[in-house]
Amino acid sequence: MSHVVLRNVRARYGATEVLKGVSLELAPSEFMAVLGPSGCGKTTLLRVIAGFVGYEGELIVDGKSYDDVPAHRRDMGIVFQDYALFPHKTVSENIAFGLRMRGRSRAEIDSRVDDLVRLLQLGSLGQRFPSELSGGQQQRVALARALAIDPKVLLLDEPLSALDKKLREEMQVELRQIQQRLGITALFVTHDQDEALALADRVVVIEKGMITQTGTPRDIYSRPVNRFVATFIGRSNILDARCVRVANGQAECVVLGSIPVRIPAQDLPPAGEAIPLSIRPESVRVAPAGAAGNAGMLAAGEVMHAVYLGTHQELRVALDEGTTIEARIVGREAFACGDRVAVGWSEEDVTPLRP
Amino acid sequence: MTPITRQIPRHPNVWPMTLLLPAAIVIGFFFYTLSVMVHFSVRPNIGPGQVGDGLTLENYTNFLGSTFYLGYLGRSLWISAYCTAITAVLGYVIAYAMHRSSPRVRLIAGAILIVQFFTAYVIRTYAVMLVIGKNGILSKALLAIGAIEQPLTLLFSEVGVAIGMVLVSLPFMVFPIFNSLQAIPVNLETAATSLGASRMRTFWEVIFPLTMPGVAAGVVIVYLFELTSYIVPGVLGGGYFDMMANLIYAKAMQSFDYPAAAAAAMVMLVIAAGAIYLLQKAFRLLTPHM
Repeated sequence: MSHVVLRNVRARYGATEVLKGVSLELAPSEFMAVLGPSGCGKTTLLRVIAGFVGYEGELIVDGKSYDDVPAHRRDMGIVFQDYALFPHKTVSENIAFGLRMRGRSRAEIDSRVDDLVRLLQLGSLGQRFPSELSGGQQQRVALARALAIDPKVLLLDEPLSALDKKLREEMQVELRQIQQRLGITALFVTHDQDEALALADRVVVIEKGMITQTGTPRDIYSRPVNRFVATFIGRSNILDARCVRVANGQAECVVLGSIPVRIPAQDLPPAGEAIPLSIRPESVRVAPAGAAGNAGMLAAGEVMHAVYLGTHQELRVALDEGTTIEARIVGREAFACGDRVAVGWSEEDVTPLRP
Repeated sequence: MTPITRQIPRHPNVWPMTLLLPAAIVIGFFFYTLSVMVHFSVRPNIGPGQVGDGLTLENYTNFLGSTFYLGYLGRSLWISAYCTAITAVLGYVIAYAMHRSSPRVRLIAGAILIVQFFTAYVIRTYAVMLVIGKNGILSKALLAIGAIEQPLTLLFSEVGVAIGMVLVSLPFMVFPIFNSLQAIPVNLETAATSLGASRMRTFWEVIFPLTMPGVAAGVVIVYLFELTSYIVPGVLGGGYFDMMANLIYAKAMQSFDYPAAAAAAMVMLVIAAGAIYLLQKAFRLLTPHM
């Protein structure tokens, strides 16, 4: 249940700066996901905390500076993408490794290993070797091994990416339950937005070595701060708006030529610049052209592309004004390519982005 | 209704078998020479260069009953054993240093070893002679710094042969160990460190056990290579420290006593096979299950 603070952390590999001043705070028992495309520096961030990468800046764990603590004294439990189980040691020996390194007594090690085998439902696999286990079982052993040392922070480096979809979803639930039951502080590195949203208390979005946005999954999804976050996490229609006038703290803007939108004036960029607006596909309403439901619709267009996905239907609509807009329709109404439609959205679903 | 059984026509196709022919020829050739040797070893010696008729175990009893001959065998087994041990330690250190080095250093070290490896055995042995000889660079350097008063007398002694054997067989040890080091995923070390293992413990707990197959391969190759040394004791021992191969050569090519030479060679062959068997058994116990 550790409290972790990173202050202005910079790290470089040779000439390339991978982390360009990252500041971050993990509350005790918090489950934080670090989300970003590959090469954004998220794994480096994890390695900085674990002590495997040299860095500038500060790392403070429970009020104590960790900058000079060597990796093997940091008490960080890491779960690797490839699990990194010791192939020459049995499941029990793998789990016991950290405790043996700490010189714990035989009896203590045995009882702790038993607890973890039970916690992760490894049942009778104790004497097996990693090569005799399935991917999901190896994953559990890796987690048990990291938890055995009662780590200050559990660091997970894309731990579920090697599992198939169904198993991954099961492990997500289990991982979250274990983390909450043990109340352990955890940092989860992933490029999978669904995983980040599903698991984390808070999500940190990293782009090119810098934190773009930090917030709860709901914040991140519903109030993305810029184009990158809006398109990396979920899909978004980005429309450029132009401000017409400002009154009472509200900026009156127009998008797509003539559709009025009001946004808070503090979000306005310097005068004259276009304001990017994000509208999620599921916030876009679509109705057949000329139907009764057209009241309150904002633009007309033609369906260019329609995909039926069971739970919903994805449409791509070419607006008469020239822009293409994506929509995600839940419901029985079926649209096909070439259909004339009207589209619209509610003003509260429009998020102004940083240009 | 009768069940329809369809017979798949089975024409024994012999053509693919012909691909085994080259291997069969090689194996046949070795088998033939070996059988000639077995044959010679049980024939009586009826004078230089001649092989008599009839069967006898005399050649074997002569060899095994003579402390003089057994001395060669014992000497060969012993020097090869400790030289293999030294080669293993030295080879491991070199392989580990290469493993830890930058790619450029690794490339250069590897190139040096490979050039060594492909240089004719005799030339390599002469090179060792130039280094450790009475007027060699080692002797001169030690004299110059005043570490020794008299020139080194390593040449034509057991020590000289041992130095030569270790140097000449090093590549056989370094490469298998280096390969097994390179095959260890980096994350295993990271994992061990994160779990609290110091560098030392990471090495002994994780790295070393995982390189055992490489060490085993190196030890078996090097032991056989050293046990059957001919040129190294010939050149660096100069007749003062002969090994089994030198004895066999002398018997066959100087005394022309083919039956005695064949019997000595057979004893050597059996002992070498036994040594490999024991080494592999030992390593199977030491090598971790994976």
